Amino acid sequence: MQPKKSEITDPNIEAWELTAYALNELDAESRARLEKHLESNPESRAELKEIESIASAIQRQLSTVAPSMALDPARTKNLLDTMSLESSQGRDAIGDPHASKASSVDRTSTPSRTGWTFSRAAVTALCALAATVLIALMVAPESLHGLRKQIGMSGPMESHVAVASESDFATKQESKSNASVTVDEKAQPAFGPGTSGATDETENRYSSTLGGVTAEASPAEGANPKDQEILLEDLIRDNGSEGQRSLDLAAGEVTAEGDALEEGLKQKDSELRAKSFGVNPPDITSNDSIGVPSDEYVREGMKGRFEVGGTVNGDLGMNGKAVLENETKLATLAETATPIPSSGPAALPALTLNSKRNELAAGGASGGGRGGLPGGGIGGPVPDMLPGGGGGRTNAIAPPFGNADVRAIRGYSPGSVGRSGTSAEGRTSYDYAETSVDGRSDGKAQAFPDELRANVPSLRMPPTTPSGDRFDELIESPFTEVASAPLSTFSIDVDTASYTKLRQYLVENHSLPTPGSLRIEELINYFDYDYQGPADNSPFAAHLRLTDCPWNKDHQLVRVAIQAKKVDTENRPASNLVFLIDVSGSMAAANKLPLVKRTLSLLASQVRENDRVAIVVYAGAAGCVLPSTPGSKKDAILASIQELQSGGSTNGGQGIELAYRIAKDNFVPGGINRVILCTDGDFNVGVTGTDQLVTMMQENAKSNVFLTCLGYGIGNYNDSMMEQISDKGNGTYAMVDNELEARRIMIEQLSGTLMTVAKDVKIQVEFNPARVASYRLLGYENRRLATADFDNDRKDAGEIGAGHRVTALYEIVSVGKEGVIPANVELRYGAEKQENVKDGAAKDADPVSSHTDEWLYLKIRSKQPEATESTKQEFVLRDKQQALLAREQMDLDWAVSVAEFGLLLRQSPLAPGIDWNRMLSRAQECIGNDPYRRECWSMMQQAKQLSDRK
Amino acid sequence: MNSTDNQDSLARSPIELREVGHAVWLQSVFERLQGPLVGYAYKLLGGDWDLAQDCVQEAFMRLCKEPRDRVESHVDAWLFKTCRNRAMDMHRQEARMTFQTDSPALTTLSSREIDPGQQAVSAEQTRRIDEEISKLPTLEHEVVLLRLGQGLSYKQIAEVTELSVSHVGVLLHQAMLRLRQAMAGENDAVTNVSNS
Repeated sequence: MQPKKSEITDPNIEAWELTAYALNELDAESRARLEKHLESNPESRAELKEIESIASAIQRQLSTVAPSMALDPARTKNLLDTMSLESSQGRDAIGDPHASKASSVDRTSTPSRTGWTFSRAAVTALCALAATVLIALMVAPESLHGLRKQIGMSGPMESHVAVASESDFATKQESKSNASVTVDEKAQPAFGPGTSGATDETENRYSSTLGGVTAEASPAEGANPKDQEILLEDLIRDNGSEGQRSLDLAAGEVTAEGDALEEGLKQKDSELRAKSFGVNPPDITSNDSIGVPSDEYVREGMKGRFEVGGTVNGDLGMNGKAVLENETKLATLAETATPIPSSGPAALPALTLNSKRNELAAGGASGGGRGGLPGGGIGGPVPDMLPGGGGGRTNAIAPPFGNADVRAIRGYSPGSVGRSGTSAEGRTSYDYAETSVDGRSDGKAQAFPDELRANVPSLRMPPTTPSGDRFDELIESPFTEVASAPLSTFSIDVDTASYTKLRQYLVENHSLPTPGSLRIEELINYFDYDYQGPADNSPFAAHLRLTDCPWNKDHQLVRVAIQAKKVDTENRPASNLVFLIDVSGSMAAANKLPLVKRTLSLLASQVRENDRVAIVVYAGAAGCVLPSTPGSKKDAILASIQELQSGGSTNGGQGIELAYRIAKDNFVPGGINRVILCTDGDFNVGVTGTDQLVTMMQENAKSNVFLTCLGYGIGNYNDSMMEQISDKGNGTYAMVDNELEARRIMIEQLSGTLMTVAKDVKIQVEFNPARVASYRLLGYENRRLATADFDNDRKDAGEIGAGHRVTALYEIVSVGKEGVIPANVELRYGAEKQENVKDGAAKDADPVSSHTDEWLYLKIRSKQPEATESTKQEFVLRDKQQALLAREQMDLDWAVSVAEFGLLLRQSPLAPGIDWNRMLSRAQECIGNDPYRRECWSMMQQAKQLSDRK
Repeated sequence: MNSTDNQDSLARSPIELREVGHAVWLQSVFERLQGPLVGYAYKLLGGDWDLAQDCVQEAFMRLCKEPRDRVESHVDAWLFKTCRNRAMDMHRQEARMTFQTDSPALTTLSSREIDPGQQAVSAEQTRRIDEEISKLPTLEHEVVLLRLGQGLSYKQIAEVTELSVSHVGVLLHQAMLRLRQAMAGENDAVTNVSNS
């Protein structure tokens, strides 16, 4: 049958160009011509629409089949061998292509094998030597010091100098002994010579109150900001005699015995109960959340208030600061279990009397204090399954705009009684009477020390989807006002599992995922963006960009893009890899163990002579099926992979221990030391509680062995467990749902997958209150950190691999547009808040401050893979933005589109103007030649259809 | 801190460098294209897995022997073309080349652990699209596979199939028309009798 002819009558347009247009194949000229034609021809527009829809249907159909296609391992190996041979022995050595078939059948008897091995050995040895030299320069601990100096002079980095709140003696001494670094830091060019004082003000850039207070107290020392910090610390120590002790203890990293620890906490608990506003502590004992201590936020809030108010005199300010610091110590105490400093709470009433604003601050502080301490109370055997366990839930239902100060992050899933919020954080602020429950319960939850967490019997089970998958419900964070909390701190996340999971739902199950399970940052970070890497030796480059917010025209988006330095795959250092493979019964499915084998074969094909590979399997028990084997014995490695079989129950804990032991026994200093865990996360024998496994990972992570978690399968899949294990175990977490994904992780992004270039990467953004009224971070719900954690090197955060990039989007409301956000409920303080904002603006307009053209100030802290101290980099977003190249604009638009896609899937109540069609058409514009974006685009279309059907 | 500096410091001869670079290039091409090529060959060869594997292996073997500067700029199209020619040869040799894609093997590959009831509707749609694609005339079928299955540009397809770019465009457009009519025809078989 001959296809019906199109009805295009325009002589300038050929019918086929419509299809070409739909497929983005026309050059600019024809494109413009056709677009003109389309404007006046509704029939052509309709036809174009039809073509687009059928094209995407076909694409979808063809792409669902294609991913599982690949050359089988034997042929792959044969070809790879030939390719190596090709380079080192010349073409003569290659036989007739037809002979290769024979060699692929008999893998061991290819005549040229010996020659190949020999010459390849020579080549790789040279490469390895080069790589080793390179790595020795980069990460060897002994050269670190020298390197840091070097970095300090050449780039915008500085050594970590602890803030007063975190300083312990060790750090302090060190900061003194590193005098040269200090000098470098002063000279570092981030803000030019005129503003170096502000730069050194670690805590707050856009307001000078903190520094001012300190300066008043110590005029003689004012010249050196570092001394200011130290002096401040001294004063604080004088202020509270117990404070000294706590500091000492913190410095010594004392880990108290369990009993003493618990006793200490109980003591604090009772003291705080006395202070609490008649709320019954058992209400709030059900939470064993991890995450951010809320009292940290309170401190942040207090500071914000002091600054904004601008009315605090020197003495009082000092006092306030002291309280602040004592609160910090409370937090520290919760961690290190030292006795409570009595001066902290005692100082509060004094402050309370001063002014209304201070009263509020104090209220917040005591709320935080209350929050921080009762945590000890649940150090005992309190099961975390109490029904009605409140904190997370209370937060979870906080109205999105109602109180910007309540930060509900990971909350409570209404569907499951058995689970209290995994991580709920929040704080009380202006109206503690109304939200104090949040503050208390959260604080308690947060302050519950990690060391004790394993003692709590873990009975919780994350909520379950119809398919049997388990995940943690994430609650979107609402807008935060800059006036009260100018700092936003979070840990980076380069995981991509959430996207892969979404793909499984859409492509294989033809259903939409549960809205609460989506991690928007993982959707955004799944894609490649062409960000420029760092020019110098710094670990990161950052690219800040202000753009329109498509779902709210009065808001704007700030894109924070961070690019880790790139390392060529062939330049990666020697690797010590331990595969830890779940071979339990649940792994038998076609998309699990067989796919694991394929993944590992892919990786094994990339292993070089100086790499080592071991394989540990676990089911009912754990065993080592391949001891650490050099990469030269590729046959043995591949054979072991092929022999893997599934069966039995799952004792993950034992496997983890064994794998880490092997990794440590074969540790390559300066090399890649990594455990690669392949599982569906369904641990059911032995150590099964997430908490215990997490503790185990945390212990093992200290050995500088990194972790890659690869999740397989749909159904019975434990996303929650995987996410937590990888978070705590210096790991990254990706899902593998098909061969293409395995290839992406193991081949295309191998150096990023294997080679960690920086660990504990934290990001802190400070918004300029003169420009930004409020903000909210899209995604990263379970990656938030407390403000003080940023400078705390003991606080774990995300890892980043070579060439990885992280994109975060903030939705901001600029000053003057505040009216757009529904007014806060507490009108009582509404007026005052307005005033504060004005004050803040007025202050920043002062000529003393030269930051009026700045929107925000970005700080990145990270550690070299084997280091214990962090370094810092800084960036500023200014008004003047360079024009973007076309591809950069496409990257930006794509990231925004994916975020919008995520918000649509999450059915976000915070994005009222969101629209599928607009998102789809913008996304289509920025697909380019990227097959992953193309795939995503068809997923977007499918998701739209599914959501329309609902 | 890049690879060249590194290797220069080890005083390696330019020839060595080029050879190492060549192997790396070959491998990167291989890793990038082997999956798509197997998928393509598999369809061309009517779902014969082994033949598709051989076909792709041979294409890469030939690539190894080809001087790099002659193929590098258009290696994607070159490989697809080589695959295609090889598949044609195989078809002639074994008289097995068909454009039938609806083979049992294919169905097995695309359906994993899915509750059959859950996706009955879309499976039906999927099957129909698949069927209609396979009914297309040979050349149209091929350009659909290359453009929508493999994401090759018109220009690349023109090289693979040795047609002109606009011919590729026309073929694809006709294929789209056919598929649209076929799908619409099944959807509205009753109401649209007069139109068809």
